[in-house]
Amino acid sequence: MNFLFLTALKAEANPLIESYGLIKDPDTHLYTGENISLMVTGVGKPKTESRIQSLFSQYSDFKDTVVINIGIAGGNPNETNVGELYRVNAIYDEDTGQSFFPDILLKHSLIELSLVTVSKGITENRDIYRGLVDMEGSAIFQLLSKQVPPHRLVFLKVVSDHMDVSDWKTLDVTGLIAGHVDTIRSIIVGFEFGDLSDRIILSEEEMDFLNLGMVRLKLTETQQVQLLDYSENYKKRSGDGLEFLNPFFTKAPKSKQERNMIFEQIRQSLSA
Amino acid sequence: MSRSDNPFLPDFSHIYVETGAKSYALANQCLTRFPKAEVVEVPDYKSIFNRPGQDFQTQKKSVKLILAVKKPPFIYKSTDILQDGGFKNFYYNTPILNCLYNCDYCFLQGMYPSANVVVFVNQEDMQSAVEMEMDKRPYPDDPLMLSISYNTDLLTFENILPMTRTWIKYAKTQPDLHLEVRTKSALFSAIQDIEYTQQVLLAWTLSPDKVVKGNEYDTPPLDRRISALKSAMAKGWKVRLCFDSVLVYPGWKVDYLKFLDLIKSEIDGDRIFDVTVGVFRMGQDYFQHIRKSKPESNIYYQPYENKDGVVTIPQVERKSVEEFIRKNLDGFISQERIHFWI
Repeated sequence: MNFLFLTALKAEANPLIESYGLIKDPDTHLYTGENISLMVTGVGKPKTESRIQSLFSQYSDFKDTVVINIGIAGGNPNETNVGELYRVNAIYDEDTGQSFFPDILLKHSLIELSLVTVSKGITENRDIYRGLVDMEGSAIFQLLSKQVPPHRLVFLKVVSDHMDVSDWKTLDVTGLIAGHVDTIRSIIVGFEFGDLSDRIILSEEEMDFLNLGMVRLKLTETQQVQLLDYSENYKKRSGDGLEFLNPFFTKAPKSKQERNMIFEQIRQSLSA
Repeated sequence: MSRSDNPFLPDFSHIYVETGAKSYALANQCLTRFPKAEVVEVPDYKSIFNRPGQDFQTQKKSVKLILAVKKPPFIYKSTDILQDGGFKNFYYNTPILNCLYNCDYCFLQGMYPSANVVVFVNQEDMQSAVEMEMDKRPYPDDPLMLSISYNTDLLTFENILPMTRTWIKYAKTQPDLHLEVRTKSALFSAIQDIEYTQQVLLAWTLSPDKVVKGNEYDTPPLDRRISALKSAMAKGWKVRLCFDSVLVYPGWKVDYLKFLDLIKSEIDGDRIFDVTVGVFRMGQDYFQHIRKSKPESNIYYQPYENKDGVVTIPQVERKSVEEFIRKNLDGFISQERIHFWI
């Protein structure tokens, strides 16, 4: 299982960079370690959207990645304590009215709250906001949920204030996150134990092998889909690999007839 | 794995309540039943149930509950895949979407994008729709047969929400309404205090032990289902036996012969209302949807044929199932009371 942290501020990222010994890649600006990566998205939805779009060209291993957005948030004074870490179970976008729901399947020890994502810092009418308030959550969910199922999207927020701060520079952002690194680590361990990776039947190597065969045999689109189906059926039923198909892929057919004949032989071999 | 080792939250750890559902009595009953659940308000149940990218089988490890208000249609005409059991006015409705069980061959995993359970809290609206449909049913001399457990296993929920009880009570007020309650549950005990009625058909799906253990996850074992249906018969209820899906695999006849011998030794065939038999079948869209999710089950990786948009086992195997079941039920129940989807 891989983990990808997203933080809005470098100050939020620092405790995680230090704890996991992450190193910055000068080309991608991603901080990486053994199975942990981190990206600083910037503050607000537009910056976040732009950085996540660029992430898609830099990071491709989403099928077994848990995305964790961690950062500070404003909190409703009646529902939250400053300095406490909360798990988000619903995200409402104030601008669009859309709502998003991460699946929370694994046990955890945090109090759950909803999160409202806003475009501007809250300076008045703070009591109308229930739970937590941030400026990135909905954008992260909306974009990352195209790559990652909702049970691998995690939103963690440390309440930095009750929406009553006039000078943001007075906040000890790094200190607020640093106080919860152990809890964040325990959540990651929970995901390792739960194993929520995408299920696969054909390995990447087998997919590459079949793709090469498809190209060499110039299979039609229908035949390509059928070849994948037959291969999956064969592997599920027999548990064996597909190396025995290699002789079929060595020579390019000279005609459609020859191609179809070879394909029929493959079909029969995979049905056996 | 002990309970403390299981990293997953228990089922119904979260209850998502549609804003419009909050004021319904059934919603409050659910929330009271699960006082420790995290309650999350949602504007529309589809905003959580229909999210893209959900993983049905992973969600099955920690199923959530969604409370919603059903919008029309409240009642549906039978489909070709659903067995009507000889009833001319055959309909179904959806008091609940999804099931607490997780059978390999179940179409629900292809039909719905989510494994979470939706309970519709406005059951009265469904009952009003039933009354309207009864007035215009195509065969007015026959009752309207309503399957209330088509997209769920309603009796499984009876200790959580007494919905089967509610529908049986309602049927008793409507002489032209008959109900089919299809189940794999052993929970007849939850409704055994209700006086039986000829309007309600309790239909138990039964399978050999090997199929129960290997393909019908989280369901009660065969002996408990048999015990439940025998209790129902003893109390006078009409009982249907459903052998559906009969699974064909190497050695299936040995397992099903033993199974049918057990049925014949335990149950009085003369007192059974009827038997329905079906093989594995599924609409091709559902089948493909399930395949794309790469389920663990081998069922989705067998050679099938497509019969007018329905994926099913080859005809020669379907015929073999029919002949096998007919032969081995001979003398147990009259042939005209065995209905096949073959």
